[in-house]
Amino acid sequence: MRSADSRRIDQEAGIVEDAEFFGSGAERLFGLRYLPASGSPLAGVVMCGPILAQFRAHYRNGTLVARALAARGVAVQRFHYRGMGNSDGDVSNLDLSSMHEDAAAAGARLTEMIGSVPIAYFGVNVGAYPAAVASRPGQMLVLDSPPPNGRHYFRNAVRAHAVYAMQRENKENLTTEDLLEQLRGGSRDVALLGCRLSLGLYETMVATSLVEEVGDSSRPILMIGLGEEGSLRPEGERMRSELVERGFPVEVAVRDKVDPFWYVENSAPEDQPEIAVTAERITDWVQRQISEVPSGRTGDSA
Amino acid sequence: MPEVVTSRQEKPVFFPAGDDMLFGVVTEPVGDTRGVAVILLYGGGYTMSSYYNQYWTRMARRVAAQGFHALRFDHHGNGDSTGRVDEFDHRAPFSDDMEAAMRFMETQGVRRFLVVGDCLGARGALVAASHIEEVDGVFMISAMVRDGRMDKADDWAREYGLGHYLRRAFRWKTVSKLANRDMRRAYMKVASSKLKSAAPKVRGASGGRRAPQDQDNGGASTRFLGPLEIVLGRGANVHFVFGADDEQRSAEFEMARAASLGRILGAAETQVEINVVPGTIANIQDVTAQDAIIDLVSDWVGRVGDRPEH
Repeated sequence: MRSADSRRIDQEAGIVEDAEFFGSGAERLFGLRYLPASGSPLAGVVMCGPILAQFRAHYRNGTLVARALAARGVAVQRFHYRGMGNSDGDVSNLDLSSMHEDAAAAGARLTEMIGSVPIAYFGVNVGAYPAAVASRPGQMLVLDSPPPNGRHYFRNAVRAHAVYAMQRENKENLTTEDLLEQLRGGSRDVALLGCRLSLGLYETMVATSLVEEVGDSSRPILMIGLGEEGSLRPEGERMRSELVERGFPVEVAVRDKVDPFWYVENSAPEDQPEIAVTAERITDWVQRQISEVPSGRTGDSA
Repeated sequence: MPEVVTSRQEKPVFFPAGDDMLFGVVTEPVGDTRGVAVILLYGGGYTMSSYYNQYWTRMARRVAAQGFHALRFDHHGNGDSTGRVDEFDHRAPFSDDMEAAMRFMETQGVRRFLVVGDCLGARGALVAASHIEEVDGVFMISAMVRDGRMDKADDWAREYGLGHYLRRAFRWKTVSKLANRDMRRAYMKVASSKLKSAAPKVRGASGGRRAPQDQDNGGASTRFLGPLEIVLGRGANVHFVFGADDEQRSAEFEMARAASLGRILGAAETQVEINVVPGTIANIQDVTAQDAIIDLVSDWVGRVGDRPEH
């Protein structure tokens, strides 16, 4: 077993961070693994992050949530999809299929390093899609602010781009139809909020929905979404209902703040209570799944 | 054609900077090694890893293919580094972190440096270069010559008058978009920043006034001019690049150039290059501008990195 390229031990927080490139193919993934210093995690979480401008907006929050989970005894594997961040590959090849493969590879790497413990996939926003596909029957699935479908996702992305253009007094009034036309025209320079977009990503996303990605195999699901007074907003409630109809045990956690939004919001996300609350909710839910489900049903490998 | 550099030539690292541990990625050079490290630092509010389209990753691998070591890293309180940052301020542009990055590369056997910084990172690179004699050049991307807080919403709010936003707020297109929560949130964010930025004027506070010496310098901060004079006086090269559509940033630079900055640059004419790339590079960069800057950095380090030690 190859060890990590670099390690940081944080005695005060009681965690260990390993940074590395991993994967046996021509294009390797960059990943960070967060481990409780005790050395025996109660579970492992594969964090599948968002993409495009939300990758940037969410990045520090992802770091802090991962550290908070590790401090609570949960091992976390973060990674950058191929074509993003420090990973190899070109963004023109990034699509939902490559994201699925990368999420599965990250899960395999986590299991290789921490051994046989229950695994949960934790998808943030559009990262919920690869998380849903990569998680296997019996494994736990955490879906944080997932878009209901690809069309909805791109509609919001285009709106966020339009708001930015408005700030710049840019007369460009980009619509999803314009976006598609530019992508089909073969331009490499089609971008939303400064992030390149490929036709492959657009087409694979708009062809699917969260419920389709989750599929039919049995998994306990924790859905974190926007809402008030314990109830999800209508689009979240619709996703929850569909999943329940398909027989999934779905628990809901509601918050009143979007994470991630499309722009960087706060220079000190350490102050946001959502970080600790999210880590606490996930840890608590994972612990209950492990204690409630008969041995072996939470999936002990990725 | 230079070799293609991938993660196979890279190693993630944690290195100390004061009480914090900074995260970075070292890229080893391929081919003939120059013995020079190119240190890369982004601007306020961004992170090294999640910057647009693998920008810093591509830049590091590009210069490594030319024989340079590269280190891209997260300043404290951001990305995968430890610590916290409460605001992005030109009076504290992470120059200590930049110096720590160079000290770390010295432990890897590299003794000479070129530093590249974007926006607030450009100021951090410049200040660090003024403290470390082994820096042969500073590449500043969309550097601000004035001091200020760097926050995207504040920048947007500052750029346009209150009337601009009020006129837009009552357009039917704007009102109709309020049905969407994300759009509501975006509008509120800008409105909040605008009101915050307007507040000192309403209260008659002097927070927005520049120091008298900055006014004498055409608006340029002495925290910018001082380090620049030191770096150029030592014989190092300096490269400025601006976006053609970033009118405010360029205008401030030109105003400063008409005063003290012009004298400083004029005295070091052969060491200084100033470029403009199409599009915007302040805040959210155009993708073509991103590529153009990587090309410029690659070209610049290729020339400056061959410069004999002084």
